[in-house]
Amino acid sequence: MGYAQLEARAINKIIKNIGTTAQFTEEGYGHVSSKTITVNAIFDAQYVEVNGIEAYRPMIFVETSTVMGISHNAKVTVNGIEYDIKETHNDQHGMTAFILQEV
Amino acid sequence: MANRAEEIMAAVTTNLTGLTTTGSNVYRGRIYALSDDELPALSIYQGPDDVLSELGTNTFNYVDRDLTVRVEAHVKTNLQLVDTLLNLISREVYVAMMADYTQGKSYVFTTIASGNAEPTISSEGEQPTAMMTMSFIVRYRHSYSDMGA
Repeated sequence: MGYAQLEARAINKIIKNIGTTAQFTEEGYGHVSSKTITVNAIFDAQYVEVNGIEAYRPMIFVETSTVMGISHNAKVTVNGIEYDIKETHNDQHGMTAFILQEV
Repeated sequence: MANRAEEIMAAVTTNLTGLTTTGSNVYRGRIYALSDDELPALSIYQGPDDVLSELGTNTFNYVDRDLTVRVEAHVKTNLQLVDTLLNLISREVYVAMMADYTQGKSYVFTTIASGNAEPTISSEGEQPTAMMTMSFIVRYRHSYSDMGA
């Protein structure tokens, strides 16, 4: 087994064990439709202070292969909260981080 | 008898409390981050309190000063453009500051708007946030011997 496969396996295990589920809907579709997919993801909401205001920066990490076709302005629901995808960071090593904004 | 600068700051805080958009979310000298329950908000800060003449006095009877009052508007929303909301607040603040340009003090000559800074807008939070600083100069007089008289 090559390094890339080992890395993919490890990532998969981590996400499944400590992650949650995220429901993605491509841009332009209603939230629950045939265009909705559910994948395992790690959700992060780091505290930030910005413009003198308390806030958190929501983002999720997923395996890139599970979210092909998902890009800016698609929607995603995590822990019951719906977000717009505002940025897509593909690390080119099998993982993608999505920067989110509350709908 | 308080320092007149202190009295002016307190008067401005009172005059800016209860505006349509920011309501009672008005904080003087706020140094901690605002929570969602406290938004949209105004933070009021004291700026320079400059004397007008080179020697710090116009006569040996009194001293005239320009007190800068800095008003910061803070917003967080995804329901409308944050700078649109800031412009709404800016108008309300201006009207409130100029409704009585003496700020209710007999020793204040006038209040002068000295401009709004460029809004700072950020996408770092779960919703867009923004802040804009509005500055006003309050010209007032106190006695040569006492800043509170």
